[in-house]
Amino acid sequence: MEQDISNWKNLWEEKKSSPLDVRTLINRLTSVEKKNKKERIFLGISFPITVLILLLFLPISQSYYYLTAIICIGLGMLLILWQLYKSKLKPNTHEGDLSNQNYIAATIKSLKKKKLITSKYMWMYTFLLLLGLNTGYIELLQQLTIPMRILIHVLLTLSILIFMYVGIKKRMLKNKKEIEPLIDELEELTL
Amino acid sequence: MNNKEHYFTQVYEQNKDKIYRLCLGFTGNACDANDLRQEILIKIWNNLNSFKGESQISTWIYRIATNTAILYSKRKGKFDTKFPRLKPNIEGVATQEEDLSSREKEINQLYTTIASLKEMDRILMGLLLEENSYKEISDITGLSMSNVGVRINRIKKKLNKKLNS
Repeated sequence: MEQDISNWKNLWEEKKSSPLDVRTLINRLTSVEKKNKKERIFLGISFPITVLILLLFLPISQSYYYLTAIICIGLGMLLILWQLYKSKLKPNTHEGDLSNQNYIAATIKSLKKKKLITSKYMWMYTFLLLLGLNTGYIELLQQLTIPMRILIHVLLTLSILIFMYVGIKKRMLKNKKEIEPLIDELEELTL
Repeated sequence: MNNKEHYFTQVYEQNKDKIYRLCLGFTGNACDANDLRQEILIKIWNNLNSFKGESQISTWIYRIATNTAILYSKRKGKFDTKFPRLKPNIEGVATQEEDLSSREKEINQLYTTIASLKEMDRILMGLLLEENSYKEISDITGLSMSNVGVRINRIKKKLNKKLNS
């Protein structure tokens, strides 16, 4: 057996790397790195800018309804943006510190968190969005009759609920097809 | 060339053969090995600033390489589209089986046979053939040393049987 191993080692080591243009690779890596940095900065400033625009355009000082609406929608956006940042844009710079078993465990944890964005956080966002919009509409529709106001509130709530339900369902199906089998396969590797 | 670029080039030059062999042993063919190698190099680049020197650079690279390989096989075909593939220079490399010498055929057979093992077994075998000790393999994989020993013995027998069949 030891002779076999020694023979395999010799054969193994005879294989040399195929040539690769490292200079081009570095140039591309640098450009992707810059792009990712820009995306992170954009995400970091887009939220405060959106809140600022809303504050400027809505007469919040005149109405607590508008203020509540902005707070609810802002919280919802913050919740989703934070989850997206954690799952997609946050650079993972500790892969070299993790053994295979720890890496698999960390990947499974991160995939499960990704699933939570759809199953939990998107619904929380929907709730905050509906709460915010309906609160804002209370002030906005004050001039209309009560039945008309109720109708608009119901239509607004239903259309957003249907839109979000379809989107979330679609995403959950995609997760079921892609993320769940991956989690199962990775879990098998830890056995 | 800045410091990071210089360091990356140095790390690449020192480890390119090891990385490529692990990739080839994991995938079993040059095309996928090149894809996997590119993915590993991207991760090395992204992680390079966080290397603290607490472990040997080779252990650190093996961890990145093997961690990437584990996910590569699961995510094959879903590679980050914002990073285009670099085409390796394969001019002059014999690709037809009949053009290969018997030694080259033996090498190819070894790599393709290793690639037919289970994922963790491919990694363990690759690390062993790269002259890593059981302790180093244990540090890279996170398996206990005794488990590494038991599994390697089992893989050796399996590989021997496959190569001689």
